[in-house]
Amino acid sequence: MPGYLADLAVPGALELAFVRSPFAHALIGKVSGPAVTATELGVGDLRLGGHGVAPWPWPALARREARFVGEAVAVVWAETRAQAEDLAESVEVEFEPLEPEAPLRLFERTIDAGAVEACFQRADHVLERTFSCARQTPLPLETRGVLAHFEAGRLTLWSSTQIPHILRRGIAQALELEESAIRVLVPEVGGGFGLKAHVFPEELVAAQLARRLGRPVRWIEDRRENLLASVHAHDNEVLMRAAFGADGRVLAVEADLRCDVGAYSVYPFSASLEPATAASAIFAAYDLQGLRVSARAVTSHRCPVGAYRGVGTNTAVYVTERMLDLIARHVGLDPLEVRRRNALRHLPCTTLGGRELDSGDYLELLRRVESVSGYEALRREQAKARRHGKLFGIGLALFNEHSGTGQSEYRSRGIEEVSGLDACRVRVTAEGRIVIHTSSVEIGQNHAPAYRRLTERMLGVEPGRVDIEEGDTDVCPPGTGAFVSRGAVGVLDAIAGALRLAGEQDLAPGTDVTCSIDPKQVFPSGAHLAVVEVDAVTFVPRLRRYLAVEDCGTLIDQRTVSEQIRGGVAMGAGKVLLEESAYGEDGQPLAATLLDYLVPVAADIPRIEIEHLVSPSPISAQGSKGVGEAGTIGAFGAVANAVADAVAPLGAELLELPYGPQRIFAAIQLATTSKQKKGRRPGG
Amino acid sequence: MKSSPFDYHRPESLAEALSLFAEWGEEARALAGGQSLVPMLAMRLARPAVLVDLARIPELRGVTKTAGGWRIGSMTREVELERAGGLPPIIAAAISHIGHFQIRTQGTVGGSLVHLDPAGEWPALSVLLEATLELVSSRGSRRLSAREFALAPMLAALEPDELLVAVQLPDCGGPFGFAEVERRPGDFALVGAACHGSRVVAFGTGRVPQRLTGCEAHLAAGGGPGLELRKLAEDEMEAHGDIHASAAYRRQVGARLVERVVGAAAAA
Repeated sequence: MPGYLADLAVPGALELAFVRSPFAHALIGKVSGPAVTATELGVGDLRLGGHGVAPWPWPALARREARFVGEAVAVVWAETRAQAEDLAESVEVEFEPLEPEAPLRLFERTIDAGAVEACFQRADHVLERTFSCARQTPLPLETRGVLAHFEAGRLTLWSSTQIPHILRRGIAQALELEESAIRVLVPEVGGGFGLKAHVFPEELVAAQLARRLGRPVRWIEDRRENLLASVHAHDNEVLMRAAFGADGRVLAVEADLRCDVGAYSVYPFSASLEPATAASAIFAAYDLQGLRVSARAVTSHRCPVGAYRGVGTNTAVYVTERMLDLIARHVGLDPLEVRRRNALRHLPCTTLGGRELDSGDYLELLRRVESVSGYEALRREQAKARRHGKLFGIGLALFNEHSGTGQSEYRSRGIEEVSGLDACRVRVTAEGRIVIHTSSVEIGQNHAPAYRRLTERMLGVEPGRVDIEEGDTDVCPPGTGAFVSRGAVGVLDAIAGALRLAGEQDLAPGTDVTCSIDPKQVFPSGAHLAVVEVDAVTFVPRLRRYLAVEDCGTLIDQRTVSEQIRGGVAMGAGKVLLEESAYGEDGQPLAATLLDYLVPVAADIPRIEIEHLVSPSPISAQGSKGVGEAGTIGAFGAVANAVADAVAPLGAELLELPYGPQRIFAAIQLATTSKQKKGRRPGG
Repeated sequence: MKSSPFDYHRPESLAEALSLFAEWGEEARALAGGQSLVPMLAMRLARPAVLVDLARIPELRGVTKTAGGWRIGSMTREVELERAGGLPPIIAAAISHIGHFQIRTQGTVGGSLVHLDPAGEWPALSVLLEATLELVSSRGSRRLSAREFALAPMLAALEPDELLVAVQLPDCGGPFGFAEVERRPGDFALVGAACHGSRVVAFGTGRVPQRLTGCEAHLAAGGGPGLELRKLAEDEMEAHGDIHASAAYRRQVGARLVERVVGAAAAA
């Protein structure tokens, strides 16, 4: 593919700019100036079908009301983006600010399994805490972008997307076109991280304008739009209660999750994404006798919440792992020992939260973390550092995550727009070259070596004879796209299936076979360890060391796996230490530039050590599992616990992400004040 | 994030630049490295009709040793100072906190002084060392002390037709302390403090760099670092809160930094 979307040379292309709401909630009055509004555009909504999901669609352009700062209200176009921005600025919109609306509940998932009441009655201890996960955004280096061209009754849509076929479906439905009248092409993509796994209002607008104007139109999102009006994630508050014995064994857990999903329900996932994935991931690597979870999606006047590398599992693992450390402290045990005592021992098994864990060895993960990190020596180093007044913390996380979600899971959530299928088409050209097309897209995962290795192994074809062409709905078989770590699951299974079919035809020139798979979720796992030092004067935390022991089943390409973990860890560490899409009380975003939305830079991330454990999946054909999200998820637990451990000797308890210097300072202040109060009270 | 339209001039002499500012006044902005102005243009927070790029004016560049100290041309890039060598170590220490290497290859001393970010290193250093600023317009020239120059956040005492041509620093060798809290290496300081002789400045906390006169009196009277100094600093330090740090954080951590920089100066 010829470069990134902004690099595509399209003669005569018009550049779009959007007029966006400066208010969190306002009535839209008269719009004057050279702009097209919702009424004039005449496009339907991206409506989600299915049951169980309240419709609350994100309109292409706001109609009567704007519901968050940054929502697109009107669109303008010009020969250059700079001119388009001048035009956008000249448009006058009469806004009438409104009071915020009461939150609406769009989705709820509940789990009530095992003997919860009985466990809480007989437990030696019960701990209750409220945790919160800051609102964050995936922040791909390349922002969103779309280029639409309508010619001879056919729409060609270049998009920097993770979901070409879902995009085709969404656009077709809203523009009332046949899917076959749309071709989606994906150029090089500079990172997605879940953000580009949605169909966005701007894509609808671009497609419709291309049809109306008869000229190609392009929209390249700028960073401000990206920070305010793409998708956010993780705006979650979790009240958790755990019942446990004096031996640190957890008997039962209750959790109440409130997920702020922002102003609208996103396409295609709806508002169910965070609550549905978080609910089943709570304590999912541990042996419980009772689990009760209620997870709700509620609206607000903020940017809509969508997919993000690790989705709700990040929140679930964060609260689970923080709780386990608090339990360890409560009963006076080492955090590693508490995890050993509670980890699931016999896999495969089904968790109380309904996860059908296919394979894994959680005790071995913990053993590896212990031996590779030199855990005992590390704890001695910590004791010594503490004697010297240093705030030195060690954090652990043990977790599993779902990868390769298939059709039945989406249907159970009421989502019909995601097929859940993965597909591969294999062609043999007249010259005898093997061409692999999949329903996935290359967004930086480095598919080619893995696909070529598989082809070599299955058919004995040298890698140089294999071409990979993804991201073109005219030639690629329909399927789900690239998200939920499905590459090493359904996509690879489909490739293997199609290669087998092609092999049966002896790879004769002209061979053209397709294989489609409905994957079943498989569960990679990991145990991570982080070392953090918090400056005793400034409370700035610095990540000093990181070890990830990962198990994603059979390794297809070890280097790719390691780099996925490394990138994921860096991302997760940033979320724990730095990132927050903060809003003021009035719904105004406070982190509208990269001066305020802080992401880790190279100097913030130490060398990340990786250790591989291999528990092949009995379900996926290659024994492999997804690995795209594991790094991020592990870091949410391990880095958070390391920061918390560093300041625990001061009596400070950290509950609200991100753990920046201000939060650490405030927690220490609180601990100091309450200690003084306790000291003053007669009889203590 | 494209700037609104403007005319661009790149004069090759100071006289030419001054005549442009005389002509355009408030409608003109000086481009002095652009590390803050260019993002502000892109966000349309600044929208000058005329941009005057000072990069090609030889009179505005370079460092000279003077009888009383140092004279630094306003368009001297920070990286040139890093490479110059022979400068007092307090200057090198302050520069090492300015952004990243890439920023310092473009950022200029005068650009930072005129931009007057409350957390900027050059404004803090100029107030600490009681620098003198040389201002010139087609009407003539004048000098201001750093404290007179720093009116308010992002607001220097500069007339629309005036240019900052140089900053004069007194001899500033000898013991010092300089410390900042940065969330990431290279970030603007959440709070900073510096000490030279018996002078102390806090920055990133209040509206402009603040001399801590109570602390200075304490040092002048022979006092040193310790709880008393910290208390004085905490009491007199102006502080604001934002999403990165509360006013209480800035005041308390700032006071610890004051103790740290005074300690560093005393130990040297």
